[in-house]
Amino acid sequence: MIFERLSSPLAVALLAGIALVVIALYWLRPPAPAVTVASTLTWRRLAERSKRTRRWRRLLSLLLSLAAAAAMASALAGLRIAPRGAGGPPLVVVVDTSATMAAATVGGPTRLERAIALARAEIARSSGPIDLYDTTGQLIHAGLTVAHALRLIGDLSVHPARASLFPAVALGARAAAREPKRLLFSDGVSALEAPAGFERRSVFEPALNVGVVAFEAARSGSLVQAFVEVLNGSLEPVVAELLLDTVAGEVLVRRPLQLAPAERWSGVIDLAPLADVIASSPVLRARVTTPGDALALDDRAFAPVPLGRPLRVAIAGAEATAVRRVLGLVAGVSLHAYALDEIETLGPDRADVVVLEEDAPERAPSVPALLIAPPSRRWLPEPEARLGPSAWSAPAAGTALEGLRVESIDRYPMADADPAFLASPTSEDFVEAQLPLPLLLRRGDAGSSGPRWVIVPFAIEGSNLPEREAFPGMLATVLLELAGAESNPVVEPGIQEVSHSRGTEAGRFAIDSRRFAEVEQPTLFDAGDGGARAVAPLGPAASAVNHSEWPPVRFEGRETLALASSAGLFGISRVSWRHLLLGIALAVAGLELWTRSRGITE
Amino acid sequence: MRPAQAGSLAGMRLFGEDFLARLERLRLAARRLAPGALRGEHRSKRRGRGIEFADYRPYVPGDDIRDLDWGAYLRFDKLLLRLLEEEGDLPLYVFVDGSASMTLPDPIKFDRARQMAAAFAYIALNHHDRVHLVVFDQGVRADSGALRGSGQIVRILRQLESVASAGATDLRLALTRFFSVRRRPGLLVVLSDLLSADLDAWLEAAPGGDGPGAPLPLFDWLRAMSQDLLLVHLETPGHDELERFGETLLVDAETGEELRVDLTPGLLEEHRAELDRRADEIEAACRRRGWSYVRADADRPFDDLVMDTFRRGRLLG
Repeated sequence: MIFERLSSPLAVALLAGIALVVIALYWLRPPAPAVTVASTLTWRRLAERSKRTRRWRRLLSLLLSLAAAAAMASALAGLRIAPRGAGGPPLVVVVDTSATMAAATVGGPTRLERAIALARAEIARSSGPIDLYDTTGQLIHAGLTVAHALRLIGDLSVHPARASLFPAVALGARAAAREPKRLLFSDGVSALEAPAGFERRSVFEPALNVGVVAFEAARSGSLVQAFVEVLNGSLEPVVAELLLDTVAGEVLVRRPLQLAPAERWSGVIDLAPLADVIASSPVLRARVTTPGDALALDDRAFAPVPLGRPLRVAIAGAEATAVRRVLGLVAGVSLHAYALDEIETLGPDRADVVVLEEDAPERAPSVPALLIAPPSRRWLPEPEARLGPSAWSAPAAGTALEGLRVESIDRYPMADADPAFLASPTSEDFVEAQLPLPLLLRRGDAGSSGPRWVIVPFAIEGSNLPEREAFPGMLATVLLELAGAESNPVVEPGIQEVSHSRGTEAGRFAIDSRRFAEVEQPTLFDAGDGGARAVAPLGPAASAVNHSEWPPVRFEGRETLALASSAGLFGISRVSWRHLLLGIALAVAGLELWTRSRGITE
Repeated sequence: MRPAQAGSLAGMRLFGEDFLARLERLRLAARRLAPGALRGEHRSKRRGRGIEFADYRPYVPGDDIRDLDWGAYLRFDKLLLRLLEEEGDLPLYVFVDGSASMTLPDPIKFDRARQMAAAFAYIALNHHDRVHLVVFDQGVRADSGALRGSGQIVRILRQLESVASAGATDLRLALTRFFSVRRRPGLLVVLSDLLSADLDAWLEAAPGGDGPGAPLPLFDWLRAMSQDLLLVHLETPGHDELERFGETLLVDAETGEELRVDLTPGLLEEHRAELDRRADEIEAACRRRGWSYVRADADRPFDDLVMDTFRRGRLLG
C-alpha cells in the first residue's frame, strides 16, 4: 500500500497538532477519583471472568480506532491509496456521450459501446487513480480505483436531450504529482473542445444515416404548411421513406426519397386540405425510414401547427417551474399569473386554459384546466394508490418517451371506476402503450359540455419529462385539447434555454442540438422576443443559427467541481469526504465496542 | 423489660428505650414462633442426638456416618440417616459481621445487623434459650459467652452498641475458631453482607484440597458439626455505592486493595448480576442442606425486617 500524496502541508501540520494535543491531554488527564467501596471482590471476579474476552476486544477496538483515525487522517489530509501497489500515473478518461454515439457500428455495437470497451481496456491497464467523465454531465468521478471505474463506466448512456460539452476536468493538484494520461473516446462528430494533452481515441466509422434535420409547421391565415428537410449523412446513396403524420396516427403524407451521399432534400408541404385532421391533432410528426439506418435518434421530429391567435393560459403563483419555462417559450401562448383564489373566478373571457402544478383551488375552475399532480380536492377524483418509480422504469426503446423516469405517481380511477375520467388518447400516443398507466387522465370529451380537466398524475419536476423531446409537444397538445379544437397553440419541440454573453435565448434544437449544429435552421429565433415571435418564412433560405458559436454554458457538475476546488486548501475532494464518513463510521463502531469492553482496566 | 433494665441502657444510640419497646412488641408478635425454633422453652423437635427415633433422611456429605442406618441400607440399598429427637434446650449462636464493609455504602447495614442480632437474642432469652453473641471479622472479635435469662439482654445490647465495624471478613476462620471448642448443636444465625474473601471456601474445598485430611467446605463442615444455619444476607440496594461513570479507583474498605475501573452502565449491570448470581448460589447451597437463607434489605423498617426474616427463615409457625 502506497500513499500517493499528501495534498497539503497545512493538513500535515494540522494532523500533527491534533496528535500533540491528544497526547498532551492524555498525560494531563485528571487522576481517577478514588472511591472506597465495601468490597472489590465482585469486581475482581468480573475482571477474572472477562480477562480473555477483554483482551481481544481491546485489541479489536484498538484496531478499529486506528482504522478510524487513519481514515479520518486520510480524509482530512487528502491521502489517497494508490491502487495495485505500483502507484502508476493517474488516468483521465472522457467518454463522448453525445447523440451520435448511439449510432450502430459494423457488427452491432453502438459507438458508445465501442468507446466503453476501449476505455475499459485502458482502465484495466492503469495502476493509478482514475478520473472518469462523460460529455453530458452524467458522470464526474475523480480518484477512482480500477474496479470502481470499470463498474461506473458501464452506466454510461447517450443523452440526446442534453448538450454535449467537454467536462471541466480537474487537473490542478494531480498534475503536480505525476503527469496523468488523458484520453478522450469520441466519434469526433460533436464539437468537443478537448484541452491540450488529451489523446483522442476515435470510435468513428462511416455509417448509414438519414435523418430529419429540420421540420417546421406554420400557419398564415387559412394556409397551413410544413417544411421538412432530410439529410443523407452517409457515404452511399439511399432510398428512404418520409412519412408525415399527426401524433394521433393520422397519416398526412408518405413520400419515397432517393438521396445521394450527403444530399439534402427539403420540401414545403401544403397541409391546408388536411386542416380538419390537424385541428383534432395539431402536433405533427415527421419520420424518415431507411433500411440499415445506424442512428434512430434523428429519424423523427415533431412540429406543432401554430395557432391563429394567442392562447391565454392562466397559471397560479410565480414559481419558475419546467412547465412554466416551456410555456413561456411557446409562441402563441400568452401566460398570465393569478393568485390561487383568483383562479376559481376566472371565466372564458379572461383565460382559455388554467395550468396548475401541485396545487388546486377549493372549488373547480370554470375554465378548462391542466392539473399536474393535484392535491386532494372534493371536485377531483381521489388517487387510489401511490406507485413507486418501479412502475415507470425502462419503457421500451424507440418511443418518444424512451428513458422516461417518474419518481412516483398517483393511480387514479380508470374509466371503469369513474366514467368521467378517461385515459387520454393523446397520452396513449405518447406513451405508445409501453407504460402500464396512462400519462394523462382526461375528464369529459371534446364535445361534451361543462369544464374539461386533464390530470397529469405525477409531479413534472419529479420526472425527467422536461428533458424529453416530446414534452413540449405533449404539453401543447393537451392545452389545445382543453382550449378547444379550433385553435391550436404553437409548440416547438426540444426547446431549450441557453444562456450566453448576450443574455438568454430560447433555442429550438428539435431533439438534438448536434444535428442542427451542422445544418441550416429553418426558423430564426432571437433573444428578447419573449417567445412571441412570428414564424419566419418557410424554406431553406431562412436565417441560420450556428450553434457552435455559442459559448459553453450550463454544464451539470461544474459547480460541484468548483466547490471541490475551493475546498482544495485541505485537499478535500469528493473522494476524501467519503473517507471522512468512513472514518466517522469506524470511530463510532470502535467507540461502541470500546465502551462495552472497557471497565476493569487492571 | 424491667425499668431497671431500661435505665441501664441510657445513652445508647442504637438501642434506646424506643428500641426496647420495639423488641417487646416484637416478642409479642413472635409468639407464633415455631415450637423449638429458638429452643429451650419447648421440647425440641430438632433431629439430633437423642434417644427417641424421629425420622429418616438421605445421607449428604458431611453427615456423621455413625448415624447411618445400616439395616435400612441393606433393605433399600440407600444410605439413610436415622434421626433421633433431641431433648432439652439447644443454644442460639448469633454471629454478627463486624467487618468494615458493613458500614458501606451506608452504616444502616451494620446497624440493622446489630439490631437484628439483638432481636434474635431478646426473643431467645425470653424463651429461656441459651444465647451466644459473636461479633466477627477475620476471627472472633467479641464473644458474649453463653447467656441465659432475659436479664442478659442488657449485656448483649451493650456489647452490640460498643462494637465498631473494622477489618476484613473471614467467616470460615471465625466459625472454625469458635466451634473448635466443643459446642452443642444449635441454631447458628449469621448476619452478614457476605462480602467475604473466603466466600468460595464456603461451598467448595480449597483448590488442591480434595485429598484426605483436607479441610471441608465451610457448609459441609457446619453440617458435620450438626449446626443448623440461618444465613441473613444484608444489603442496601437503595444506596448507590458508585454514583458516577468514568474512570474510577476503587478502594476495598476491608483490605485497602485498589482496582482501577472505567465505570459504564453496562459494567454496573454486570456487577449487579454477579452479586445476584452469587446470592443465588449461596441460597441454593443452603436449601440443599435444609437451611434457611434470607436476603434482606437493610433499609426496610426494623420491625418488618425482623418479622420477614423470621417468616422467610421458617422460624414462625
